[in-house]
Amino acid sequence: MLLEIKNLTKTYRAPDGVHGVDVLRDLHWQVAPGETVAILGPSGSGKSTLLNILGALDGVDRGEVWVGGQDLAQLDEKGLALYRNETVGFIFQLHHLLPQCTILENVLVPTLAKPGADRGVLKNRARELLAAVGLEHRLHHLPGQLSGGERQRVAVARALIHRPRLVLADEPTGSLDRDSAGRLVDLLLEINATQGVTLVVVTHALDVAQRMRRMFEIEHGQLVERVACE
Amino acid sequence: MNNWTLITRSLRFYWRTHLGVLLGAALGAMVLTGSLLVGDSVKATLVQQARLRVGRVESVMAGGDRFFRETLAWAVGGVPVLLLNGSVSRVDAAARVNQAQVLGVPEAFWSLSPAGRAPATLRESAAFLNTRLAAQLGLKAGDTLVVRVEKPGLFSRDAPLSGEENEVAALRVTVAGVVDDAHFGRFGLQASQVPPMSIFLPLQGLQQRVGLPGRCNLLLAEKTAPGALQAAVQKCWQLADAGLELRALESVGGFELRTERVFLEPQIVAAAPRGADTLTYLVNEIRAGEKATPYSMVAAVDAPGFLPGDLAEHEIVLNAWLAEDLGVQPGDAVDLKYFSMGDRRKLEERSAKFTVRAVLPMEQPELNGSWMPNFPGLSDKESCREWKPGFDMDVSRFRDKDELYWKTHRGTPKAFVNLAAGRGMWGNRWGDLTAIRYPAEGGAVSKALLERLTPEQAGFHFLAFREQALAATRAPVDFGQLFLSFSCFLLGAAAVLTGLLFAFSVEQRQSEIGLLLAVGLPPARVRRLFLSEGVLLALIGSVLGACAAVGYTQAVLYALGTVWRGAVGAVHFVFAPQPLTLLVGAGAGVFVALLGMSWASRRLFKNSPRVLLAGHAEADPSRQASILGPILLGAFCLVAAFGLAFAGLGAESFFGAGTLLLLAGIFGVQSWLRLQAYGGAGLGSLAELGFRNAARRRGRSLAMVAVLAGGVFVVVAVDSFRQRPLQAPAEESAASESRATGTGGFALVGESALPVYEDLNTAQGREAFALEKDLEFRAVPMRVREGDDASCLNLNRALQPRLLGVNPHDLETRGAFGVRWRLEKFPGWHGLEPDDADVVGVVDEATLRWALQKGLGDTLEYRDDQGRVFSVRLEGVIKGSLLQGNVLIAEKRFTEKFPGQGGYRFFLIDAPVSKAEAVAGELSRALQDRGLELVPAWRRLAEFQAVENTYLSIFQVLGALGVLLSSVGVAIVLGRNVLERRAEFGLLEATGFRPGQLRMLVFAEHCWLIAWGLCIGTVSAVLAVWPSLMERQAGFAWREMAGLVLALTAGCVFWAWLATRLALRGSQLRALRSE
Repeated sequence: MLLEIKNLTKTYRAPDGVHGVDVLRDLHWQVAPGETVAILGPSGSGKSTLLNILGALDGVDRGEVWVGGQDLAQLDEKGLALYRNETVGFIFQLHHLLPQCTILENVLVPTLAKPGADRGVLKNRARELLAAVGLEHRLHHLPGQLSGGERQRVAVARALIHRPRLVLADEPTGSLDRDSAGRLVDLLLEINATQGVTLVVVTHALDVAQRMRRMFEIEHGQLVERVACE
Repeated sequence: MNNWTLITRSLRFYWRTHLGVLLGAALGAMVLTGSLLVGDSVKATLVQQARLRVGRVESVMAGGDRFFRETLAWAVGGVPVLLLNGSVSRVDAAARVNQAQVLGVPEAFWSLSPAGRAPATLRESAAFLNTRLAAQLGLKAGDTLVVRVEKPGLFSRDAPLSGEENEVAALRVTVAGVVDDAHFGRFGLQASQVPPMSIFLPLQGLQQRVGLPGRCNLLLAEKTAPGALQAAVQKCWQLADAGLELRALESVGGFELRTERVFLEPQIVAAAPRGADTLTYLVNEIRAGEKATPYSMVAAVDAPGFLPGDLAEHEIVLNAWLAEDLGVQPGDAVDLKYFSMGDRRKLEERSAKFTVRAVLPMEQPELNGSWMPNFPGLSDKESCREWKPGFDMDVSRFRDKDELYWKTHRGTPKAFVNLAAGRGMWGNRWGDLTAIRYPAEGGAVSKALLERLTPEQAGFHFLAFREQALAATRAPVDFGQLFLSFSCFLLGAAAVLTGLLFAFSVEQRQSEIGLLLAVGLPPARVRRLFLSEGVLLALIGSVLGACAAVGYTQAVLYALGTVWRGAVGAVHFVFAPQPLTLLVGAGAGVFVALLGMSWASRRLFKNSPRVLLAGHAEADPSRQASILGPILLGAFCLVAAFGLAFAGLGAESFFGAGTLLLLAGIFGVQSWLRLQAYGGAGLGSLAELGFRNAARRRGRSLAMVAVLAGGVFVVVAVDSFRQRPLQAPAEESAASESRATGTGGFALVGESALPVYEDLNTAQGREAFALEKDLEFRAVPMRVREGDDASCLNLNRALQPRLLGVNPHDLETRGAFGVRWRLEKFPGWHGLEPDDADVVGVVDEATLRWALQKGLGDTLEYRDDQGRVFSVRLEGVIKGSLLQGNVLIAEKRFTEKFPGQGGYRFFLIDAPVSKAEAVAGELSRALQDRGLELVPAWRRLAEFQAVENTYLSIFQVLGALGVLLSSVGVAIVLGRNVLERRAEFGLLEATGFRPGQLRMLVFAEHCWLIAWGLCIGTVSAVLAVWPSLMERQAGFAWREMAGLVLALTAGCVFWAWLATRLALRGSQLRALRSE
């Protein structure tokens, strides 16, 4: 398994420190390498929380999260940073591009974590990725000069710069129109098909979810697998 | 793409938000660099003044009241100068300067000036004035003035038989020109930023007028080190330079060593080859029964051949004239009456009984006038009835036969006694021999003496003039550090502001931080990336600040020369920026700004990437901290504060208590903010919403409260140290009540240019100056050994402060000044005269601490009249007194060390308050020739207090600027808070709130923070300075304090109001719509 979760519980406490909500409760889950997985669920059900935990953006209260044979709980700050940089590629709903940097530079942002790496090689890789997402003609534009769909494609390219084994996409089409959303999903599936990257997508959109190989829904803090007709 | 690209892109992209950070850093760097540049400029000014003061002179031989031959100076390649004290007045008496420096100078003197040439040729009866003197008297070239100088007595006028004729010489001269600093306008032996008032006269003319032809007392040497100068003088000097004379004794053969100073000083006697010691003295009367001979010379001799070898101490040998006059024979008894000099020239007539051992015939060759020293007022008189020996002589007692004896035998002793008996009767602090007689050849004696006697032993001081002048510029108070400490709060406020603005900027970009963390950059590197941006901003800001510091420094220097002139006197400061200082200032500015940024943004980077990406860093529940910590810390500080305050440990403990209370208050606010953040049951009112908002960003709220409280603490505490302006005491009882205060309860204080020898408290002394006998005053006179002014009025380092010799009894009986001793064994002012021979000094507390930078028990080194080094041990202090700048020692010790320093020049006067002005007027008139200048004691003290107050003003102005900056910070925080909460305000408006209500909500919310800051600061400050408030004689100015706090409050409220108006202009619904 590429990804294995055991007994995961995550609770959000109220400011008084007494009251709290168990978003994820004793959750078990496994994902094989190369799979495409969609996670559905209503707002506040814990979809993004799960994705954040998988991306080491958030911690757990109880349980274990294993990705690529690594127990995330055992990693120190340096190890977590390395994990985020090399193992995972994260695509956010709001894409979070740096407004002060060009498209090319935005794709290269994760490479800042590796000061000793060959800049020329990385730059070529970024160009290739941008070409793959159809933005080879916008390399030196700023994010503010791009449409929402284009920005999201940049975010995809950025997520792939270090050839991650796992791509986590949090509502990647949430801010896009139907056509753009469709093109983005095509792109993600193509990457999965060509590069063997495991894809975990959190989405509200059923049509997006249905294009993934497996679909899960979070109910009462647990993941329940759905079939396409559901 | 690399770190550098990201940093530079970010700097460019966020330039608007960075502008505030840049300005904050620039402000900090400006204040920091400016403070250091002020130090540079003050230092450079003092160095420039020192160079102008010494000109091209390297070293100096100063004689003081010892006058050497002018030719000695020329022989060693130096320039001779006659330097005297005097008074200068306009001929129309419209203006007068009592403390002037009168210099007789040759043409060569000007070649040593900074300009290296004379301003013009100085003719006879003409004078140059320096700029300060000319301005003081309102004189210009061509005007006429009168100079009064004391005709220097070679023999101390305190001594018996010192004469009293023609003490003051008045010279009428024309002003030939006014000399500037380049022409020795600043020349003087003492270091001070204020030049002396100098008048330059032709050397020869002055020498003639004061009766010292060919003599001078100052030797200036160019390019010669003091050691080399001393060696050159030692090589070239003659007996005459030491005031000695080797006179041939024609009638008996041989030579006699005598001195112009009448009594041979012990160090001269010690250096002189062994000879027959003699002491000749004028006795008042020699009596045998009913018969008496008035005013006769009697010699005490060391067993010469013409007297019985075994002459006992009670035996006397008379000459035939006296034996006949008294009708005595060997074996008869005679009484000798003579004066001995007591304190303050008080003559005490004593008597001694002798038995006549032998009678010498008048033909005896040894009976001649050579025995009589050159007593001033005696030796040169034709008639003994014209004698003016310096004491009241009853000339009616002279008989014709006495007159005939004087004409025939002049000063031939009428009697001889044993040397030991003579020393016992007439020995005094100036010496106990008047001559040493040698049978040998004079040249050998002279050579031997000059070889053994050093110029320093003869009373000449060799000074490394240039070196000492430059050393004195290492001011005791480093103005750079002083302004830096004065500006510390302003600096702190700038750092906090910079930090806050940087934190705002980073908060705005929190999703960026979240992204960088999410893509795998380690948190430390992300923080470094952002702080690198901060470093660049701080660097640019600091460079700009360092440039602006040039203007800031000039503004401060201008203020020091004008509105703050009270601190430094009338000094025109040169602006002298040092490149290194600019670099250091800019570097320190970067450091301070970075410190602020690092502190303010430290928490943001601790958030998880998820929180940062969501832009909810401030709302992260995991950050909700316990209120227990600040409550415990606050309680600890509070208990410690009151513990300290009631421990009774003094003013310092109260200041510590105030500081702890300030901390307790800040911790209290922190707890309150944390409590508000938890919310609780729900919102009860709009105000509660305001509190909740203040708590939402509690870091910035707390920072503003802390900075405001700190600022108010500084400003209010400093204000309470301010001395209220002194005024003349209103009631008669004031003097006795104020003995322990800074005026010592005295009505007047003054100094004379020339010494006053008479005791002004006696009828005789008053009569000497034609003072009304019933003039109601009592004087405490003090002897003065000139030295550096160590008061707060002098910016230079006082290497040897002025010594004042005071009779401790005078101050003890009055209970004046309340001296505090290091050791309790000292009983009041009598502690100045300990049982051992130590010289104990008392000094003003401010002088000890700031000017001398010493502590009790430390010593100061001086040279006595014989060139020997002695130490004054500082054992006692007086607080806030008008004696600031001086070191007080016992008069007894003073006269032991400086026997040549005659008379009194410093006076404290007791007089009824209502008559003080009249007494001052009458004394100044009567002692006009002495150049006496009296001022009310309270006014002199006020001059010193004005310096302290000016420093406090500077501190306060800079502190107030800090508070102003803090209040601007409140406005910025307010603006930022509003910006972040636009949607919230839009919502409130959408639910029915009017814009005015929203403004009131925001205004009230921030006014709470201001109120907290001001209250905590004020209460802590009042506690901190409580003892000094209670001690304040003039009472504490509560009204002024309240006014100050109100002004600060008004300033802060104004900024908050302005920011509210600007930030909440128009409808906030737009923000809601955009969301």
